[in-house]
Parts: sequence; C-alpha cells; structure tokens
Amino acid sequence: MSELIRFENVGKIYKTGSVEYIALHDVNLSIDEGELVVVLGPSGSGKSTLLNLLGGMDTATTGKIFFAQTEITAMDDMKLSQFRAISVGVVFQFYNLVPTLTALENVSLMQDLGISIMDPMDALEMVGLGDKKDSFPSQLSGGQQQRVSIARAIAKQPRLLLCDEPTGALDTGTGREVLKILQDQCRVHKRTIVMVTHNSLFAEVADKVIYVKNGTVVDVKENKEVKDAYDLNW
Amino acid sequence: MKKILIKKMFRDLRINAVQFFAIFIMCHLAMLLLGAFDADNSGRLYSADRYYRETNFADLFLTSEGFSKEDIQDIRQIEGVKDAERRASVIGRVTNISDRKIELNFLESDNICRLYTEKGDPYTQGMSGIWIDRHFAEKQGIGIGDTLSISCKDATFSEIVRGFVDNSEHTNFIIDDTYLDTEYGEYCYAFLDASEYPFDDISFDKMLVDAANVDSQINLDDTDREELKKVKLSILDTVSKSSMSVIMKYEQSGYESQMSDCNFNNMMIMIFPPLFTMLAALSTVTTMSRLTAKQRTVIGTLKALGFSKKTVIFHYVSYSVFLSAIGCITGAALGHFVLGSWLFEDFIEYYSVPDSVLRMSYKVPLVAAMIIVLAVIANYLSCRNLLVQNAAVILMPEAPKAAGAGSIEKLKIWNKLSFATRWNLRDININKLRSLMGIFGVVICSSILMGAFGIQESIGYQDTWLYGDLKPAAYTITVSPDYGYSWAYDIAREYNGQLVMQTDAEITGRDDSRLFTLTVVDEGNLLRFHNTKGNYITLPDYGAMISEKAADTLGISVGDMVSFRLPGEKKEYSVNIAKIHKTPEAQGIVISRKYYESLHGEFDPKIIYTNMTPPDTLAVELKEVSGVNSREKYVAALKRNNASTAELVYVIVVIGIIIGFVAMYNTGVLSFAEKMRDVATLKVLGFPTNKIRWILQQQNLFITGVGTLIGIGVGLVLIRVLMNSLDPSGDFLVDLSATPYLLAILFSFVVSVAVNGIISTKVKSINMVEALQGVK
Repeated sequence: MSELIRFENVGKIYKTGSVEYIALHDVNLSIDEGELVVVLGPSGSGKSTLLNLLGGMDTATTGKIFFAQTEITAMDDMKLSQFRAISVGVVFQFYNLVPTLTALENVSLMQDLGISIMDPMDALEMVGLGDKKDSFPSQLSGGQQQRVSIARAIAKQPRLLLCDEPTGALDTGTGREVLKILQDQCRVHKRTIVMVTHNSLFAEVADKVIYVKNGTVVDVKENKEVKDAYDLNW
Repeated sequence: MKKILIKKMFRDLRINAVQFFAIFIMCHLAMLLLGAFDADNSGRLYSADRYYRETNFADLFLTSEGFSKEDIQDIRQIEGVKDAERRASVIGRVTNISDRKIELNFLESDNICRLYTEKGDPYTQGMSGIWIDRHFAEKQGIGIGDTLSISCKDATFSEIVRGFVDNSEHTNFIIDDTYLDTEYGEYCYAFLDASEYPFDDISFDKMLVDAANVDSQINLDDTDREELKKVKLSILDTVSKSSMSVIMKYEQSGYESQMSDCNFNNMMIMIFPPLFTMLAALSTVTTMSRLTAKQRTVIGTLKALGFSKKTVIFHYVSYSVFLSAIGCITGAALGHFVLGSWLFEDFIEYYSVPDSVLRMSYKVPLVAAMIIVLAVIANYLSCRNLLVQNAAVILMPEAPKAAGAGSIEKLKIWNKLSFATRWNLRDININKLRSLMGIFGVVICSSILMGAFGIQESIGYQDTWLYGDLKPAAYTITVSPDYGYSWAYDIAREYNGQLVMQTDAEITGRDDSRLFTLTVVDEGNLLRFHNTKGNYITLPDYGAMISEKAADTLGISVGDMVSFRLPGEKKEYSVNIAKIHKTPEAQGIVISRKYYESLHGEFDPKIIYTNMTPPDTLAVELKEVSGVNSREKYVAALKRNNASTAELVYVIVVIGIIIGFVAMYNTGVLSFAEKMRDVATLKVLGFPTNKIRWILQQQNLFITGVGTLIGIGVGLVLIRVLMNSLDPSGDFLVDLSATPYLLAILFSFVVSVAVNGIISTKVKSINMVEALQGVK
C-alpha cells in the first residue's frame, strides 16, 4: 500500500496570553492509503490535536505534514479549505449537525461546496437512514445523528475519513453499529480512516494503532489480525 | 449564495425572529422617516419648482403707490433685468356670492408669474372678463360663464368668469388680517385685463421683475442670491420712489414659507434616520455576535467540512444584508406612500400649488445602500473574530473571560461593597463593549423621549407665552393699509388701545444683512417682552431691543450699533442695541415710538391692541379697519397651525418607545446569553432565582441610569436644534418644567425594567448542565 499521510517532526503549541501549552511535540508518523488507524491515548494527550492537524483544521507550529506527497502545512487558508472539502471527511463525537437543516439537507450541504458528491439520498441509505431524510437533528436519536454525520462525511467520497470519538456519545449497541459502518467504509470502499478514541478496545478493529501520550507518539503497532466491529467484546 | 445555506439562513431567521426583528425594525424605521420626510420634501420642491418654472415666477417683487411707464422703462433698461411688468391690485367684494372679499389684479401683460389656467379660456392681453382662483370657484360653486358682481371702493361692476386659475404669487394667499391662516375658498384673488380697470386713472402698485441671469427657481445658489441683491440695488438706485419695497424671490412669503417647511424636513432627515441607522448597526452587532456565539459549533463544523472562511463569512453577513434590505425597502415604501402622503397633505392644504405630486430623491436609495453597507460592516466586525479562526479552535468551547473590575478593586471601599455590586462591576469591566452598547441603546431611547416631550411642552406653551404673557390684549384691531396715523389714533382712543407699527426692515449686522421686522411700540402695556430666560423686561425709551434669533443670525450683541432700512427707503436708521429679547413671532428690532420719531421715522401704526370689546361688525362698518380678531381666535389658529407638529411628536414618542424596547431587549438578551454560565454557576451554588434576578436588575438599573443621564443631555440639544428649524420667523421658549425630564426618565426606566424583567424570567428555566458545559 502506498503512503497517504506523513508527519515530519510536527509540533503544536497553544498560546493563551503569555502562557504556552505544548499539545504535540516532535511527532513523526506515516499512514498508508486504505488503512484503518486508531489513535489511542488518555484525555489531554494530544490525539485530537493530531487529528485536527491531519484534517487541515488547525495549523502546525513546527514540522511538516504531507498528504499524498503534498505538503498541507504549506497551504494557505483557501487551499486548506479545498483540501478539507475534497479529500477529508470528518465525523465528530457530538455529530455537529446543523440543527436547522434536515438529515438530507445536512448531507446535501456538501453540494454547496461546489464539489461532486454521491446522491445524498444514497449516502443516507448507505447508513440506513433513508426514511429519516426529512427529520431535523433534534428529531433523531444520538446514533441516528451520528449516522447522518457519517453520511455527510462519506457523501463526498473522501480519501481520508477522520473520526473524533465517533462512538463517545453513544451506547454500546449503537456504537458498535457506527463502528461497523466505518469499518465497511475502509474495507469495502477502500477509504483511509483515522479514528481518535480513548477506548482501547477499538485497537482490535484497526490495521494500525498509534499510542499518544503527553503530546508525543509513544508507540505504533500494526495488527496482524483485525476483528470485525460486531466481534468486539464491548 | 449556496442553496442549502440559504435554507439555513431562513430557518435561523425564523427561530431567532425576535432578535433579528431588531435589525429589521431599526432599518425600517430609519427608512420610514427618511422616506416620509424625503417624499414630502422632494414632492414640495419638485412641485413648486415645476410650477414656478411653468409660470415664470418673478425674481423680484416691487410695490409702491404707483409705477409709471417711465419707471418700467427704466427698470427694463437695468443690466441684469430681462423683463418687467406692472400690475394694479385693489381689494373689493363679490356681492352676488355671499359677499366675499376679492383681490382684483389688473394685468398689462402676463409673462411673469403667469396665470396657470385650470379651466376655461387662457388669459390673453386685451380680453374682457375675469379669471378667478380655482379654490374660490370650487367652494362657492361658480361656473365658467357666470357673472360676478363686484364692488370696489366706490365702483360697482360685473364681470363674466372666463377661467379658473392658480397663480404662483398666491401660493399661500391670505387676503387680510381677518384671516390668520390660509382659508382657500373663503376669499378670492382674481385677474382682469388692465382695460377693465373700473376707475379713470389706473395706478400700478406692483411690478414683477424677471432677472436675466437667474434661471433657478427653488434651488437658488449663492451666485443667484448675489445676482438678485445686485439687481435689487440697481432698481433702488434707478427708481426713486417713496415707500417702494423690493422683495427678492426668496423673501416672498409663499417661497420663504415653503423653504422653511423644507428646512424643518431636512432637519428631521438629518437627525432621525442617522439615529436609527446607528441603532440598526448596534442591533446587528448584538444580534450577530449572539448568533455566531450560539452557532460556534456549526461554524466550526462548516469550516471543518471544507467551507472556506470567505463562504462562511459571506453566509453570516447575508443575514444582515437580507434583513436590512427588507427593512429598508418596506420602510422606504411605507414612509413614502403612507407617512409621506400624510405629511404632504399639509402642503396641499396650506399651499396652492397645482398638480402637486410626491417625489423620491436620490437620498432614499443612497441612504438605503449606506444602511445596508453599515449593517454589513457591523455584522462582519461582530463575527470576524470568531470566523477567522481555525476550525479546530472554533470547535473548542469558548474560554471564559478573565478580568477584574480594574483599579477600583484597589480602593478600600471595594471590600465593603456587596457581592452583587462587585459582581456587576466586574461584569461591566469585563464586557465593556456590551455595556457601552447597552448605554448607547438607552441614550437613544431617552434622548428621543426627552426631545419629543420637550418639544411637546414648548409648543404647548407657545400660545400661553404669546397670547398670555407677551400679548395679553383681548382683541387686535388691524387698520387698513390705505389709512394713516390719524385714523389709527382715533380708533385706539375709542377703544383705549395701544398702537403698534410693524413693518419689514432690512437689518444690517456684523455678519449679514437680512429682511426682518421692525416693531415700533407706542405707550401701553398690552405688548410685553421677555428676555432669553423668559423674564419680563421693559423696552428702553431710547435704545433698541433685538430678538435673540435675529441677533444670532446677524451676529449682534448688546451694545452694538445696528442699522436698518425700511423697504423702498434709502434712509438708514442707526440704533443702539440695549437688550436682547425672545419672541415667538416677528423676529427683528423693537424700538419705542419716542426713539423712532427722534430718529425722524414716521410712526404709521396698523395694529391696535385693546382689552375693550369692539363690535363684531367693526371691520364691515369702518373702511379703515381691515380686521378684528380676538385672543381666542389667535390661540385657535396657533393650535391649528401646530397640530401637525404635535401629531408628529406623538409619532416620535411611539417610535422612541419601540426602538428603546427593541434596542434594550436586544442588548439585554445578548448580555444574558453572555452571563448564562455565571448565572448557572450561581444557581448551582444555591442562589435563589429572585436574588439572581435582582443582581441582573441592579446592573440594568445602573446602565439605564447612566444612559438616561446622557440621553437627557442629548435630548435637550435635539429640542433646540429642532425648535430652531421649525419656523424662521418664529422662536420657542425652551424653558422646560420638570415634566418632560420626569417623563423621559420614567419611560426609559419603565422600558428598561420591563425588558430586564422579561429577560430575567429565563433565570428560572436556565439549564444549568447545558450552560456549564462550555466551561469544560
């Protein structure tokens, strides 16, 4: 498999007044195309910062990040927006749906970006929510909202799908369903998925597990045996 | 714009309708007032200008006891004079139609101030018959071809009505002092050929002059005015006539009065629309700050999904573009067609200008565009800080602001302050901009209320001031122009009256030379004077008093020597200004008869003030009396005259309360939204709802207090500016009682406390967990 993402000595420092907080320090890693990668670490370890940098949602203070051999750390705001619009899909812990748009409109929102996406209805069908297309987020359960969020992310058929604690707000059963959808996106649709979680069980469904602690990558493990989401002892 | 984002915008607008209504209503009100005053102003100017052009309104109006053929020849020869024509006017009565007064004008030609024929045959030189004013014909039911029997001096004759006309010299025609205001149809002006003159020797007492180098009618510029002054001086140099008066077109009563009304409209345009525009900007800032703060996650998500900064900013800015555009369009339309039409009714009623139409000037679309641009800028500035950040930063909860109450915390008194006071002082210090916006909203509300209540009181007091304090006479007898001093003296003696002479006078001051009024007062106590503070002062025997308004215009102060000249006279009088007085009418100089005669002036009184009751028929019985009016009649006329201004004041009070409520509600909601976490924390700590509501109310009362204090000061300035622009020949005593202050304070606090009461009900239902999530 070819390399899709590469971090070279990446660091991120947040400043609040005169106070500096080092969120990431000297991170080096590589992710191949089509991999399902789980980033594990305790709360405040820097895993969400890593995800944000990866998706071009934040800018690194030091180092370089490459996506398909293109340095995203050198991109200006406009190019970063294009990069996020075309290449990256994001699934958030709290779904982050636009509350004043229906399920179908939330997915169709991608059309407003001016990029070609799959039929929003097909995307909703893919996550099993075709019958909820006219429901507003407030009329959907947490699991349903997360599935709309996934439909929105996959509708544009991105090469990279970033998931920030995608099951964090869901019960076990619903979480497993969501995890299965994501796993299928990787296995069936050959999408690269990077999933941030503090749930170590998820390591078993990943091709690669990156352990983050105190802002640095402390370990990277590759799984020879990958479990199906429904087989997790969760 | 993007289709789905447009849907989102409309749904956001619907969900936050109350908040967004503030932006809409402020833009709407700004354009409502602009649209109304502009429609009235532009309509007046357009209609009058068109009328003056079509009829070739005279540039100069000359009157004397009689102009000879040589006089007109001489005037036509003057450089700068294009044409001139003479007219003879006499007052008569139409005896076969309920005995009405008629002003007969005999024409030599009809090239200047041409007759505007509404119906019938147009006048041409040499034609027989009479052309009467259309209002009289309509009201008295006169038809073309009817015969009017006219008695004039000792002659009686009949004329066939040939046409109904308007005349630009008669736009606000009042035939004599029997009428205090225009009452079209009650009296008549008419035109006949000079050959119809009923007496042997025709005496042309009027001359109309068309200046060669002045083409403008309504929009006279400085060059035009200078040219008119030059021609006037040339006429005075060329034609030597006693009692000749030369009036430039902008001094002509109809013209001047219309310009004065437009000046008031302009003042309203300059004051209110900008105020509402500022409030629209304020509402935009508060509403959009709150919306973007509320939609922080949505904004972060949109950016994370790949929407560019530009697209997201454009999306949020489009809220204010949409609302301000709708507000401006509906406001301008309603202002133009409804309020503007209502204001224009006054013009149509008071002035006789045919085919008057409402118009819209370039100012309306220009200001609408400016309001939209301003709303966009305010919107952009209020969202920029959030929208320009990275998606990851936006998606993080906003960190609470940390700061104290500033240097006040170092004072010893700080520790003695209650928790609520300290909490409020810190909150105000941390959120300075929000607090300033709150104060600004109160300032606008209270200044409008103060202005409106103050104007209402000043106008309401005007009749007591003029006809109670300054002119306490029960009756005013007016002597006919043709009868001199001895006649007036006889009547005054019979009715124990005080004689007063009032005439136009060109007064020259330090800065300017302007046409004002000269009042010469004989002994008596029925015409009194107030100083600028409203206290009685006496007229010095040998020294002049000048009205405050005239003194301000001419740059004159006590101790100055001032010269004046009566129209048509070359003689210049120099007087020493001993006092400055304040009067609601007849701005200019007042001197005693003794002083005037010592300057060799001829005392020619036409006004007699008396407390005796003359018979109702006096004006009919005595030719030398042109009118007898009671104080009650004057008061009623004044009230009628001020009625539309008073109605406008009520409209402004209502608008003031609406905008006060909307502005305070808007800033209040924003303020509450920002304090939500603190309120939730206090609730979690066990503070009872009422205690928290009282803490919030304390801050609100403080802000309202500061805002009201500033607002009252601004309101007082507003009153003076507006009162000054109401009537150039009038003035108002702005000596307010406590009532307008108390009303402005009361209304401001009632609105503020009510708004805070409504908003603070949310304390009870606040979701503590949700509100505190942000802290995490």
